[in-house]
Amino acid sequence: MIALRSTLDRLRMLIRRVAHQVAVAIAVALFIAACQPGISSVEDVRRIQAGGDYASSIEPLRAMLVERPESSELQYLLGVALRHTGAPSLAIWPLRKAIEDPEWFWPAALELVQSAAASDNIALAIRVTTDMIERDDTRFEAWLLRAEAHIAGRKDYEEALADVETALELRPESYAARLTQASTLLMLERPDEAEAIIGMLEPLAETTGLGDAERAKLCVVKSSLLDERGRIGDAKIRLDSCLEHFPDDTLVVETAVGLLEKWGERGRAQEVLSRGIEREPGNLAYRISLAQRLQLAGKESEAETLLREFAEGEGSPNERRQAWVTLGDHFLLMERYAEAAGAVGHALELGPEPADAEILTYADLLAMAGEHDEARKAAARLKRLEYRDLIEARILLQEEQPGRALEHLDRVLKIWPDNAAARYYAARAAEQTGDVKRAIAEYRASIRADAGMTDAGLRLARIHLARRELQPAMSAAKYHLDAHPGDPEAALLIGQGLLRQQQPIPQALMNLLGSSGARSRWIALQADELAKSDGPEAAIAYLEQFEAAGIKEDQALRSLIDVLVNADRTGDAKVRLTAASSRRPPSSLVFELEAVVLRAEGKLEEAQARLTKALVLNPHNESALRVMGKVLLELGSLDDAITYFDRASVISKTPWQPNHDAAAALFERGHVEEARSRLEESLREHTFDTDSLVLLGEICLGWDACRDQVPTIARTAANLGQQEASKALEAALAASLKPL
Amino acid sequence: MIPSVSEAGSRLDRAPNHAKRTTTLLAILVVLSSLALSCTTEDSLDTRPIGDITDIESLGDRDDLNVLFILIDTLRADRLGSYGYHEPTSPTLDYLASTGVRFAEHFSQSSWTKSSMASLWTGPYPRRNGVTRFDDTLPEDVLMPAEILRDAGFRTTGIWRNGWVAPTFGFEQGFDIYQRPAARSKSPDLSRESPHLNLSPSDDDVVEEAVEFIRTRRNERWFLYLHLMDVHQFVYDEETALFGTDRPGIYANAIRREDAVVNRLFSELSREEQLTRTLVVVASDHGEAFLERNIEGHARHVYKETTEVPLIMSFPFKLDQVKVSATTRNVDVWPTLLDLLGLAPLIDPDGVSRAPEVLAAAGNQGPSLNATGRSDRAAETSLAHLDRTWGQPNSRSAPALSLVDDRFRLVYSEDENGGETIQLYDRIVDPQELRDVADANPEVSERMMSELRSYTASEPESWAAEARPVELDEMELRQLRALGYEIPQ
Repeated sequence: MIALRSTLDRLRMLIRRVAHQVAVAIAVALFIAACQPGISSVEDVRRIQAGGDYASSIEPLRAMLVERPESSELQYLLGVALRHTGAPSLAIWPLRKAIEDPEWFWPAALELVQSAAASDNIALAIRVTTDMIERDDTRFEAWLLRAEAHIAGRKDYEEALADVETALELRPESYAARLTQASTLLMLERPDEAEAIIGMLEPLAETTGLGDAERAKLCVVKSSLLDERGRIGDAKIRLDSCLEHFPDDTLVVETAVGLLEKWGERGRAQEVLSRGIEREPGNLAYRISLAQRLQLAGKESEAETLLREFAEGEGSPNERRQAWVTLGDHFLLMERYAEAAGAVGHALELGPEPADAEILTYADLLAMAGEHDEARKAAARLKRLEYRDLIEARILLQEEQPGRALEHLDRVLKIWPDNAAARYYAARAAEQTGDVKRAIAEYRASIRADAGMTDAGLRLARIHLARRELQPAMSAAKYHLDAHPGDPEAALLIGQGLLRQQQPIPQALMNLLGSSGARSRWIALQADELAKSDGPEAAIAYLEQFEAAGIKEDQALRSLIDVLVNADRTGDAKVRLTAASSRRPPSSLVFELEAVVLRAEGKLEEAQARLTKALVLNPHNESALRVMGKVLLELGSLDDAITYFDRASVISKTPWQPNHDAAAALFERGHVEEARSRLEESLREHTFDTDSLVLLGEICLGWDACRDQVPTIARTAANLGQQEASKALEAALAASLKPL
Repeated sequence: MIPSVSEAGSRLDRAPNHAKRTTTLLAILVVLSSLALSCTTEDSLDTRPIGDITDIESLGDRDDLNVLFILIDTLRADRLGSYGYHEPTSPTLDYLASTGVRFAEHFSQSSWTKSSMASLWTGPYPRRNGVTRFDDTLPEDVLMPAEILRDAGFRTTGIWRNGWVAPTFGFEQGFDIYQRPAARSKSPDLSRESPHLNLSPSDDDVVEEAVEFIRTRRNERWFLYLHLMDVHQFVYDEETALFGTDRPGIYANAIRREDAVVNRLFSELSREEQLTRTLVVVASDHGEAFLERNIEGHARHVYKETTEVPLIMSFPFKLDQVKVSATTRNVDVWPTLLDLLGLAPLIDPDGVSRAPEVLAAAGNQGPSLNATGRSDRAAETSLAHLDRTWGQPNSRSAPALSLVDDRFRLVYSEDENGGETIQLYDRIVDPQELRDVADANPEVSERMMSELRSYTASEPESWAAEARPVELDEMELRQLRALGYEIPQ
C-alpha cells in the first residue's frame, strides 16, 4: 500500500527547486552577458573568469569561436566555463579540441578529466589520464586522477591500486593519495592493509592540519571498518571515542545511530539522538530521525510531541514547515488522514506561496479524509488543471461516480501517464463501470509506472485468474511479488496458476508458500484444485499424507474433513477426525471440525455448541465463524448468522467470501435490498469476485429497482470469464421483459 | 491505506508542475540564442539547393561532406506520417522524407537492438555475424563503417543511450569518441512510461552534446552517430501529449517528441551552415508491438510490427519525394551509404548497395527493381532473426525467423521445448499480416522455408567465429535491466 512521499522526497524536491533556481540564474546571467558590450577579447574573458564569473563568459566565447574556431585557448576557456556552470558533459567537447594542441594539453587535460568524471564518463577520464601519464610519468596528479577514475568505474581496482601506489612514490606524504589507497584496498577486500593505512592517516591528519570534520570522518570510518571486519568490541570502543571527541558532528551521530541499530542497541541509538537534540534543539534532522524510530517502536505520541514542539516552536519558518510535513507523514502512516491534512495545511501556511504540487498533496489528504468540500476548495487554488482533475476524480470515486471520475482521469493521464496512482484509480473506476478491458490496461500501466505503489498487480492477477488467463495472471502476480517481496497473496496467486497449469512449483516460491502467512491457504488451495482437476479422492489422498506422516497440519485436517463431508462421506470424516483428535489436545480446530461433521449429520444444536467452544478458544477462527453463520442460518437465526459472517469478513484475507455468504442468506430470506447493498459495496472493492457479481445479477433480475443494471452485470461477468452465467442472466432478463 | 494520487509527486509531479518553469527557462534561452528556430518551419530553415540525380551521383566526389546518422530506437515505420500513419506524429521526418529519399518497404534484421545493430553496422545477417546472444560481442577483426569513415578523414563520434550498443559489445570500433551522454538538461516535464528509467539522460542530452560537437568541429569533416532512445522509453512532454493515453497513444506522443528532437538538430545544422554539406540518415533498429497478436514490446518475436522500420536519407540538397519501393533492409544501409560516398565497402555483407535503386527512383525511371535490373532473389528478400531467449544461461535457444519478399512474410519459430511453428502472411491481401495462410499456400511456405534453412545452415563470418561472449559488470547489467530487458542474474 501507499505511504505519502517521505520527507526525504520532499527535501529532494526542495533541492530540485534550488537547482532550478540556479538554472534560471544562469540563464539570466547568460542573458545579461549577451547584453554586455564589455566582453570582446580573450583578456576580458580571462578577467571575468578569474573573478569567478564563468556564466558571463560563455556567449562571448561562442561568438569569438565562430571567428576563430581553431583557437585552443578559446576552446579551453569555453570548456572551463561550461564545467563551472554545471555543464561538464558539454565542456568535454571544446576541451577535447583544446588538448589536441600540445601547448594547451596540460591545462585542458586536467579540466577534461574533471569534466569527464563529473559526467560519469569514466572511460574518457581513464583515456585522458593515460595520455597524461604517457606524456609525463612524473606527474603525481595524473596517477592519482587515473586511480580515482578506476575506482569511479567500479572495476579495475588492481589498476587503481597500482596507480595510487605510483602516486605515493612521487608524493608519500599525500593525505588524499593515502585515503584513495585505503578505499582501493577496501574494494579489493584487503581490510587488514586498509586498516593499516587508515592507522597511518590519523597522524597524517594531525600534521597536515586537517579540521575537526575530516578527523571526525576518519574516526567513524575506522569504527565502521572494525564493524565490517566483525570486531564489534573494538568498533564499539572506537565509536564511543568518536562520540566523546566529536559529539556535535552530524556524520558521527548518524554513523553511531546506524551502527548501534545494526548491533541491536536501538535504545542507545535513540539516546544518542536524544542527546543530539538536547545539545542542538534546533536540529530538525535529529528530531525527524528520532521521531521515525519512536514511531516504529510504537511510541507514536512521543514521536508526535517531538515533531509538534518543533513545528510550533520558534525555529525558522522553513524548518518548521518541514516539521509539519513530517508530522503529516507521521499521521498518514497511522491512517489519520484528517490530522495529516491539518499538519500539511499548517506547513503551507508557513511558507511562501505554495507550489501546485504542495497544494495537490494537501487536497489529496483532505480527499482521503473524506473532507470533500475542503478538498475541492483547496483544489480550486491549483493552477494546473490536471491536478484539479486528479482531486476531482478521487472525490468522485469516493462518491461512487466512477464514470465521471474516469472523465477527469482521462484528462490527467493525457499528460501524466506514469502516475501509478492515477492509473490505479482509472482501473478501479473502469472496473466499477464494467469496463474490464480498460481496467486491465490501466492496471498494466500502473504496474509499469510503479508496481510498488499499489496492489495493482494483485488485482490484475485476480481479474486474469477469473478470466482463466493463467499466464498473464501469474505474470501480474510476479510483478507484484517483485515489488512487494514476500507478499503471500501474490505467492498464492502464482501457485494457483502453476497448479492449474500442472507446472512444478519452483523452490523459492515453495519457501514462500510454506511460510506462516500462506501455508494453510496453500494447502487448502492445493486440495481444492486437486478436487477440481482429479476428483475428491485425489484431494483426500493428498491431505491424508499429513496425518499419516504425523504432521499436525491444521489446514490439512480442515480441508480433509471438508472434502469428505462434501463427498457425502461423513462417516469417514468422523473416523479421521476422531483419530486426529486423539493426537491433539482439545482445540478450537477440533471443536470446529466436530461441528462440521455434526452439521452434516443434521445435528445443528450440537454443532452450534461445539462452535461456541471453538470460538471461545479462538475468537479469530475464521472457518469456525463462517460455519457458525451457516449453522445459525439453518437454525433460522438470520441476524445472528449475519453477525458471524461479518466477524469472519473483518478478519478474513478473502473478505468477499463471507460477505457473499451473508448476502446469499439475506437474499434467500427476502432481504433483497440489504443483500444488494452488501454485494455492491463489496464489488466496488473486489470486482473480480464473480460469485458475488452473478448473485447480484440474479437479485436484480427479480427486482425492479436494479433490473436496468442486469445488462451491465452480465457484460462484466462475461468480461470476467463467466460467459455461461452472463448468457443465463441475459436470457432470463429477455424472458422477463417479454410481453405476456 | 488509500493510495494517494499525489504520491507519485516525489518522482513525477515534475511532469506538469515544472513544465511552466521549464517553459520560462526555455523562453529565456530562446531569446538569448536570438534564433527562434523552433518557431520557424523546416522549409524556412532549409537552405539547401534543389538537387537531382547528378548531385546524387557526384556525392562521392565531394570532400566536404559530413554524415549525420540518427538511429531512433524502437521506431515502427507505420507510425510515421510519411509511411501512412493517420496522425501527425512526424512533421520533421516527413519533411526530410519529402525532400530526400524514403525507403518504403524497409526491414530490420532483428527485433532486438544488439542483433539488429550488429547487422546494420557490419552487413551480414545475425547468424553470420554471430551476435544473437545477450553476451555476444563484435570482435576487433570486424570492419565497421566508422573505421572506413575515420580512415577517410572523418572525425567520428557516437553518442548512444542504449546499453546494447555499448563499447563492451564492440560497437565503439572506429569512433574517435563514443560515449553515453550525461544527464544534464533533465527536462522536468518529460513523461515516461517506465519509472525505472528516471536516472538515465534523455535525448535532449544527446542533442545538447551533438550540438556542442558540431560547433566544435564546424570546420572539420565529421561522422556523427546519434542513438536516440526516447521513443523506446515512451518519453514525451506536455506539448506532444496529443494522441492518447493508452500505449499506442503514448508511443505516438513519444514519436512526435522525438520528431522535435530531430527538428532541433536540423535547425542546428542550419544555424551552423552545415545543411548543405551534411548527409542525414534516419533509421531504426526495430519496431514495437501493441498486442496485435498478444505480444507487447519488442525482442520477443519477428512479426511485421517489430521489424518494419523507416529509412530516410536526406542529402545536402533537396529532392522531390524520392521513394524506393523495393524491399530493402538494414544490412543494405551502409553498403548504400559507402557506395554513395565513394568509400571502401564493407567486407562480404549480406546487404547490397541500394544506390542503383536510389538513382533509379530519383531519375523517375519507374519501379526501381526493373530499372536496376536486379535479379538476385537474396537481395529481394529480407530476413530477421531473434533468439527469443537471447542465449540466456539455462535456456534452450528459441529462435524466431522471418523472411519477407514483395508478397509474403514467412515466420518460423521454435519454442524452448523444440516445438515448431510456421506461419505465412500475404502482405498484399492482408497488410496487417494477421491471417495465417500457410495451409493455403504450401508451395510458398516450403520454398521460403527452404530459403530460411539455407540461412540457418550458413557459415558464420570468419571474424564472427571469434565473437566471444563478454562478461558484463553489474553496472552494465543494471543499465540493460533498466531498459526493461530481463537479463539473467
